[in-house]
Amino acid sequence: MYRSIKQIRVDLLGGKLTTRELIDGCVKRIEGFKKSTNAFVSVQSSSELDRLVEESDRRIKGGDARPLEGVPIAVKDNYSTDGLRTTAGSKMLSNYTPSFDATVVARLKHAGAIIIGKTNMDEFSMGSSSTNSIHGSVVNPWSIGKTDQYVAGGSSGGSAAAVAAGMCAAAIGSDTGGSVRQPASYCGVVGYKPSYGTVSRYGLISYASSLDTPGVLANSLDDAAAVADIIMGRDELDSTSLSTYPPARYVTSNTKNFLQKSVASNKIGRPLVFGIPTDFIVKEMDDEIFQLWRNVAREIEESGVGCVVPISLTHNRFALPSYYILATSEASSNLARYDGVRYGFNVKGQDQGEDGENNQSNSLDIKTLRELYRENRSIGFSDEVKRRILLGTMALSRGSRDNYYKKAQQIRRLISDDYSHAFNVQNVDVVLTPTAPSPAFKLDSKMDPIEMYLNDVMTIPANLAGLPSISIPLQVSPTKQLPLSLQLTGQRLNDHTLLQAASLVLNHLPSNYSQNYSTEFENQPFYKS
Amino acid sequence: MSIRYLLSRTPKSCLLNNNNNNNIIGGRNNLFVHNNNNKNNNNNRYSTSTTSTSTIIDENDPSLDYIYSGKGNPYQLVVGVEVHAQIKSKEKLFSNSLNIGSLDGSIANSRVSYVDAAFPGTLPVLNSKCVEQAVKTGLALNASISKYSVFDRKHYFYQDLPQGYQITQYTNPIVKGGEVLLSLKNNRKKLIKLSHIQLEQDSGKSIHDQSPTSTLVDLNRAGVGLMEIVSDCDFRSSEQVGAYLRQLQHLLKSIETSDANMQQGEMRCDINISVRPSHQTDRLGTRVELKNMISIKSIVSAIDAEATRQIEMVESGTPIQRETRGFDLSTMSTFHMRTKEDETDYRFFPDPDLPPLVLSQAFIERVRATIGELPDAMKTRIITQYGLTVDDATILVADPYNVHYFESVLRHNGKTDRSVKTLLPFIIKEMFEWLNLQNESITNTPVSIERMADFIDLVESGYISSRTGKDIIGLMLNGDTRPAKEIIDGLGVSQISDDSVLEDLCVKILEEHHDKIMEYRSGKTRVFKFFVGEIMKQTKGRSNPQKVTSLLQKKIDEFEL
Repeated sequence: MYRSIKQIRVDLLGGKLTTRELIDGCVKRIEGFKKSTNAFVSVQSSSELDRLVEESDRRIKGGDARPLEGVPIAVKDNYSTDGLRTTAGSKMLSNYTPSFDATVVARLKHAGAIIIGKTNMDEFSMGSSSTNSIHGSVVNPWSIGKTDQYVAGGSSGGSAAAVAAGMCAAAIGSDTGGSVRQPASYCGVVGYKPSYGTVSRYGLISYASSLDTPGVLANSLDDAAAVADIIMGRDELDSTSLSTYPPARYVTSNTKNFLQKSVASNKIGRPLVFGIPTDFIVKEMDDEIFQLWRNVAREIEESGVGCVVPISLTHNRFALPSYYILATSEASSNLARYDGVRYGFNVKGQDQGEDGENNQSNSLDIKTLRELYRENRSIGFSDEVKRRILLGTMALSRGSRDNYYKKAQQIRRLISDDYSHAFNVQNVDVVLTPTAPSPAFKLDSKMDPIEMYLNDVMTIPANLAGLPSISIPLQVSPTKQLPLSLQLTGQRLNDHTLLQAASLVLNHLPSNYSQNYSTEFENQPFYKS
Repeated sequence: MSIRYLLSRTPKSCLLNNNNNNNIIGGRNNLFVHNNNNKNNNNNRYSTSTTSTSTIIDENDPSLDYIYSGKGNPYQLVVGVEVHAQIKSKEKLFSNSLNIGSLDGSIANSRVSYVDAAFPGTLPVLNSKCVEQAVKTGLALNASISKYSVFDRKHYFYQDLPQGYQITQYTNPIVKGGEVLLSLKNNRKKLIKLSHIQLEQDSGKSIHDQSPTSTLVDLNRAGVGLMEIVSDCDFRSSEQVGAYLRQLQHLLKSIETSDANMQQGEMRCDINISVRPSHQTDRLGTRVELKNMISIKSIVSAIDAEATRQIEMVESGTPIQRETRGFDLSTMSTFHMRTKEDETDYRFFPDPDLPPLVLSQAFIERVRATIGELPDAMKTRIITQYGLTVDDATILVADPYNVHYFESVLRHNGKTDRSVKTLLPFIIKEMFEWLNLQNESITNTPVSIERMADFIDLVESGYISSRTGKDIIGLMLNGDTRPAKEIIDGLGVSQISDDSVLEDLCVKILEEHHDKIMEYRSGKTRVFKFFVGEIMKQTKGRSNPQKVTSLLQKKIDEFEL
């Protein structure tokens, strides 16, 4: 099992490995972990895989291998994939097969990557546990060999589990309020959410457009950077995609592999400044995570690779309510298109589902358009999705908009200003926090919606402010045998500094976190199986 | 019926009627709307008659527009107009599907992209051409252009609205303010202020009458760019609304930002209408919205009908409902469509898929430079330059191509001395009458600029008379594609301008009538007309009268008895 894209490339080009072996290995693991993790909802057809494998092998032999030639990558099921069913974890889209690729997918294919399948997720990305899916819950691979089952986190839980258990080399997720970073932390992999606007959202099924950010789940910082280098950059199909990345001052001639080079370069020139927001110390925080956070901060300071300053993000306490008003408002609008008329679930059954379960037309007497919409949407969406649509509809309604939507926007600005103050006035390079208040929790243990929402308390601010943020696994909990992660959040469009800081924490502290974590990881049953 | 060359030339009788402020005419409902000039709008009126003389009136006197109830109480009409004009652009507002334009009969759902049909994951990308067109329209309407504007989502569920929301501009529209100076009958002017112009998406079309059990949806129109041009509530008569719509339509066509054809749905119009007793100027009556009218004429009629209805209700003490009403042309009355209470909460909020639209001054100036001569300026210019009457100039500027045609004929082949007086009647009388009859636009006239110029030269040189010219141009319009000279020669209707032929004829006639020459010489000069008449008789009216006169004069003086 490969845990490095660089190694895959060396072995493929060096003739030690064939694309066939690599892909077959992944497909085998996908099959093997199907029951225990439920990470994938669709796997690429074997005929299509054959075609792609052949092409990669031909290119490798012909000496014209592309940057990610033959690298198996899994994609969250909310990215449009040409010819591959795309459900967003919803009954509403259970029968929907797109005929176009999302920009992220198209760029990966263009770079030679092989899209191996689609990963399970919370319906329309609404959740923090990947248990709210028409395809059933994702189970954290770290549960294997334990008596209890743990959640993989969410909403990109399938992608996190797939990377952790070696079902693919890397995976694409999407991060609206922490949906890449939190599952990455629960499954012990790297989860990177780039700055908003640096990766195209075209073809990503919208949850909350102003927060949705495509992100990468990978085994290492290098791998995350390698994939990010491919998918980042201006896309004319997304009006919110920026043409100013990477910032001109960092680019001399060649913008290729910008992030990879940044990670590799140890020349930071000066000690990085790590900001520690004291406002993040919440009473719900797990003690081992708190200790890890404290130790890492102390080591940074003591080893002299950086310095640590306390910062104040005072409006952070309003982040959660602000986020849930904005995200649900946008969701109530973005999900209005799902009416079953042009595609997707329809009670009248014009669009028979693949499993042929939509035979309710006889029992239902649909007379009006209103009835058709009501039935399609009542049955097509789960309770959690309906709850959020209702919440957002309320927040945008005539009588409430000023008190909810508008206030939430104002708070969003204040939160963003707090970060700007830390970066620009206190000269902080990155903000160091835990990714989530706790490690993975038990499946079926934490199902109260409000309590679930609290899970996102540490990750949400980066989405509200559009900042790049990354979750890195540093330790395995001695008591729970579950991964513990910290999160680094950087200045907007300074993704390279963020990755350099992450590299510093992983590789250049006295505790040698990266090395030790790898050893423990490789001792886990799901790795060895 | 063509409205392209529609003119409102008001006959004298109507002017009188209008000046005496007492427009109570006993009608069906013992109530009549003041504004009866609509009856006199003959679509095909092209006369070159003199300008109507105007009486001095205070054009701002509001009482001129009062409507009198059956009991003789004066009411004031208050109307605001929302015009939806489809933007002339190759592609739709937020997708690269082709705009349907006025292409009628294109295959249903053949111009629909994933974006238009709101497939999962698709995103809108603003078409800069549409922005340019809205800015151009704003500049032509003397409005201010917002350097910062925002797109909002307006939510409602309907089968022809794939996204479940319309992208529009609710709080910060691209154009603010603006004005239209109305030219009304009687030489009255009225300034209408505009509130704003917003960019927004058109919806698809729902077709209810092709299947007994289903509604069919055609998304070709879904996502086409619209300019919603919103006026202030400045209108006080249906005449003003009619003039506004015609002038606006005319402007949009001439700056080419919209084809603005109402029959094709490229220009649609909602009317907000209320009435109030004339003394109650401090507050407005309850307003009713009129929708779905397909021509300016029916809009004007609908306003009159609705005003009548509302005044009757006020008179009888019945409260007016806030509602949306339609207009039935067969009964010439408005009917209830829906009440305002049924309306959805549109839940407007800024579209997070679209960043604010920021325009630079340089961009605005670039657009300004593309605006050609506006209709009003063009009218003033051709009046001074060619000595046209206001009425003739009005007819010509109705379509900018008219003026182009007129001026091109005048200057064809580099000539500078073609006479406006000769040319004008052939264009605005003969040709426009024919075009009206055929419901054709001048761009499709069968008489090209070259052929018209050659034809005019033949008239001017005396090769044919003006009267014969009318027949010849008629033949040319009706499909005779030969050069004018060939047609004339074929028919043998050219004037005899050959001096030797006419000279011989003169001498011959003089020889035969020595007695008449004597009479002429003795001072009975009217005998001269007898000789002219004789010559015309013998040449069957084909001799050139000017030539005949001058030759005859010469010969009669020289004649030796």
